Amino acid sequence: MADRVLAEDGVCPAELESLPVLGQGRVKPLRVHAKEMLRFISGSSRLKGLQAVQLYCELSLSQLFSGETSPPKPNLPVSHKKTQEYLGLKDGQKEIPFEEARLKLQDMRAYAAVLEARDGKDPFFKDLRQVIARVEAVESILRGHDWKFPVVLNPDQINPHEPAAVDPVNYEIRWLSVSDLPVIFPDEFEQPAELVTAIATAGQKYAHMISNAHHVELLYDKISPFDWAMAAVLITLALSVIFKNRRVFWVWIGVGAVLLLEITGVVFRVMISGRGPVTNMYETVMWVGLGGLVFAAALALFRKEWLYLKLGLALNLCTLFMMRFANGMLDPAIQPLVPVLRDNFWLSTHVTCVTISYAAFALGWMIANFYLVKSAVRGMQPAETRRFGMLCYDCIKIGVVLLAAGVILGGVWADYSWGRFWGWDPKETWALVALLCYMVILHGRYAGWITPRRFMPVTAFAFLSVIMAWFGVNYILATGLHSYGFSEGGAFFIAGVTGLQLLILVFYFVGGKSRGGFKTRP
Amino acid sequence: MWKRFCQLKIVRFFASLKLAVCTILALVLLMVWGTFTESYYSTEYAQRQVYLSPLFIGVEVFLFLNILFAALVRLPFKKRLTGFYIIHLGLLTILIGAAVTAVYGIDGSIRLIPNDKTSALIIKEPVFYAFYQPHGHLASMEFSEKLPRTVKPYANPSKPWTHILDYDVYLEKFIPFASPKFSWRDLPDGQSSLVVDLHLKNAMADQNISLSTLNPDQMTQKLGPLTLKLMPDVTVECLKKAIVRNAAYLYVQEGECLYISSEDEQPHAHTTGLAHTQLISVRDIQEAPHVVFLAGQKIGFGKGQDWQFQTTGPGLSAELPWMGFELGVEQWIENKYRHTEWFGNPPRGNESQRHSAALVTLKHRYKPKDAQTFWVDDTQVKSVATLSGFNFEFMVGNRLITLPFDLELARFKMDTNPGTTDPASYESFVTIKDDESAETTAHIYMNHPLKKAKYTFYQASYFVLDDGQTFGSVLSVNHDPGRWIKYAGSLLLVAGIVIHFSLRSFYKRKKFYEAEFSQGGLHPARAGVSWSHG
Repeated sequence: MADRVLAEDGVCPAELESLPVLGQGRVKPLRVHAKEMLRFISGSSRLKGLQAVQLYCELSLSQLFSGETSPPKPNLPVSHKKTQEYLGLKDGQKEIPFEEARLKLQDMRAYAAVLEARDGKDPFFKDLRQVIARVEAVESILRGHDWKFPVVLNPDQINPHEPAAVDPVNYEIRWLSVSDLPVIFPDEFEQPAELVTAIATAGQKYAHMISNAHHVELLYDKISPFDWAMAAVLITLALSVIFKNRRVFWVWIGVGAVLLLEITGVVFRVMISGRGPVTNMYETVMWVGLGGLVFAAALALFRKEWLYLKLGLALNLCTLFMMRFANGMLDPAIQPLVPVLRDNFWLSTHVTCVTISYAAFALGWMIANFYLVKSAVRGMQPAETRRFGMLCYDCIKIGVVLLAAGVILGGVWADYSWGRFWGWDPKETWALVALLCYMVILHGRYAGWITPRRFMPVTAFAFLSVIMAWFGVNYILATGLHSYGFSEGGAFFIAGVTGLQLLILVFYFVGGKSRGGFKTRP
Repeated sequence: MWKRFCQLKIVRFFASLKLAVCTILALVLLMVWGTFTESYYSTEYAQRQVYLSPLFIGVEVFLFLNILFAALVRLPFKKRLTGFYIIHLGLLTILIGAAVTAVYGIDGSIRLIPNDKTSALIIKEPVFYAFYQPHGHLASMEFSEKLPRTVKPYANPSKPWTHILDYDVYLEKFIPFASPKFSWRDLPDGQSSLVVDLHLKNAMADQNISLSTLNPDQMTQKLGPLTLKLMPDVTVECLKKAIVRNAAYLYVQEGECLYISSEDEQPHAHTTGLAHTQLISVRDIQEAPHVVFLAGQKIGFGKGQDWQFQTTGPGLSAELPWMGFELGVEQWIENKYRHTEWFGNPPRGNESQRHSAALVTLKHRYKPKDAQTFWVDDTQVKSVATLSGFNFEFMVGNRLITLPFDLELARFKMDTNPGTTDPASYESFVTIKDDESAETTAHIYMNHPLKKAKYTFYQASYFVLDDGQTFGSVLSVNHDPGRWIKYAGSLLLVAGIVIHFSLRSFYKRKKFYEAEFSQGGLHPARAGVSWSHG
């Protein structure tokens, strides 16, 4: 196989993965960068059996040493129907070979400009722009521009080839791209292997002068604590179901292992990014899973209710599934922050506060739905209904306190950064909507209108306001409603959760054994 | 006494839990509507449609009364309700703080251009401006009147809206979100004009250009290195000769050409409005890299000695020898002027493409025949010169507040993330001038605002000036007298919730045991009591 020549020759050995590279505005190990780039370009971090690092390395070298290698080019995903039509893809074909897309690049750019002038929020335009960005990313890799490796020089030193003795205090880091090397040293590199060796040497030599975070990140990527956490949750959940309420000790061991793994993951992300892990959707989902399990464990201990543990684990499993499999919606990459979010105590505090309040509500939601399904399937005794109500009410109490504090801290943050406490921004408005929904429940319950039996379906339904505040603002409102339908993964997720919830409610009210139970008092 | 007050029907109505639930639900629905409106239309549209609407403010007032009376009827003080009192006091304090901010606060922005002093604080509230020069005064006077900050067009043609001098001003129509509709109208006899709409495009760019003799500014348009000029018919021949003769200037008037050979003899530029009269610098045309030149129904393009001329007209196009540009003529209109009307057009996520426009009638109070109706919009200052000899100028714009000091942008700095063009931080270096003598400098950047007088200046965003290189800075300017009231309320609220839940579980547990021991069972209607934890 011609396209495996480089790999077999060992031109791009697996050890390259630890080299520091500069990409998307931060230093990271090549392994992570290559994975992120390939995931962005093709939706998958490996291609035709080649590991990300190998493929990335081969692609980077393929134009500089044309003829010596022709690594497989990725296919670019095209998600929007109109883009598929525009690119002339056959029905149901959802990706375009890179070479084909490259030929259409100029046309696509011109057409995207026309579309943007018409409506900058049109999903067709956004998807086309995404395809263009993917083509450009592949081009940039092929030209050797994308792979930026460090050299450390004395100030004013031009030639990186004579770093006889770099001044250990007063030095300068420069980022060269792979394509720079043959320009600086025209006759130096005849074989790709020589060039790779030069880069690897430079990387290993200077790595310690650049940052330690990329070593940590390599470790994080290799260990992938959240994957292990998922395995641990699955085992623990299985144990708790098999053992019912016996051998609780082993379930606790499992919960401890899950918490330990997830906290390790959080600590890793803090060490890599140098800031609180509270700035993108992936991290909020991570917090909700972790927070939900912590609340569940605390409540289980405090109330001696093992159901909390099971449902906390189930919630945690849901979030881990999302983090693992919903990368179209949740980007696991660690990204540099936009200016307004930098170095901000109030930001970290209010996001954490709001997110763990969502964790408490999510736990309450799990309990409510567990009750709804269970009572629809085999009916419920009034005492049991009261018990579930108590379990759920505890979660809502925690959630309300934290969400109220979070909304206020959000105001403090906005005041500190922009000079206004409240501006009816959709995110803050929806957090308030969620809070008020639960306030309605608490007041209705206090007045006696929401009886223990009604409490469960109402609570389950109220969580949809949290879903909207948490995801909907980003995936539905921010994309602009006037665009023609929701095309992005996030919107499907929201529609899915809402649909499932409504189905469960319908099942509870209409189909299950609780028929008529709504009217009778327990 | 207190008991009788609490028994009053109105008090019981406002204190009722039912009203609380209804008000909160109403607020929730309005807020949901608001966020969807914002997403569908625009931020300002949602503000006007929902959050600033009387309905929304009314619900907030209801909520305030509801919270107030709910707390009042539970007085005198009961220990187990401590949390409840604190929560409701906190909520009232927050709402009072919000009202103080809404009434006395200032939330605006200031646009800074490098080395240009300004003290104008822009507030997003539409205002109608008139500038005029009364008899015997040299200085121009300014008149302003607030326009309604609504979404729907506002009309009140029957009653005078306001008055300027002896004129009654009728606001026939005010359209807050408007788009223009153009139509062509005949010029009065004896006046001539030419308007040409062009379409310039190549693989990279696509642009519409309009040249017009109606406005001296529109006779020449520059597009990067390319200059487009509208010239009288004879210019083509004249220019050929001028180049041959090596003349410095070409002066075209009423079909005649005049050549001026020396730079020193430059005649005064002569632009008499509608006539096809223009002075052309031949050197400019020769030296500028690309000059495209429309004369009569001819198009000429070239550089230096090398010129081409072609016949052109509506529907025809010419290929230019530069960067694959193609210049098409879309419209060719003679002796007509472009009349603009405005129609309501809600923004669909493109607020910057919408304008506000007002149809205004000015009528002299004693001489009703002295009247005029015209459109005033926010794109340009409208001159109306024919009202009793007064020079009137009108515009629709934002409310301005003059700061007691001047600000000047010394430098604007934008850092990017390493290796990318993504902005990482914006920073403004600003000079503050209190008066002639006092001058201080400030460095404003994210989370480091400038505090001056009662105002706080935050780095908000930036813009690029017409030259495409210079950056201007936008600061948001804020004055919030309600801030500490809101903070105090927030603290009370959170403390109250914590106390409430901890006290309630204490009391509930007590009650639960009492109930258990008395064998009384649990009454489901008193749900709050019955769900206790053992």
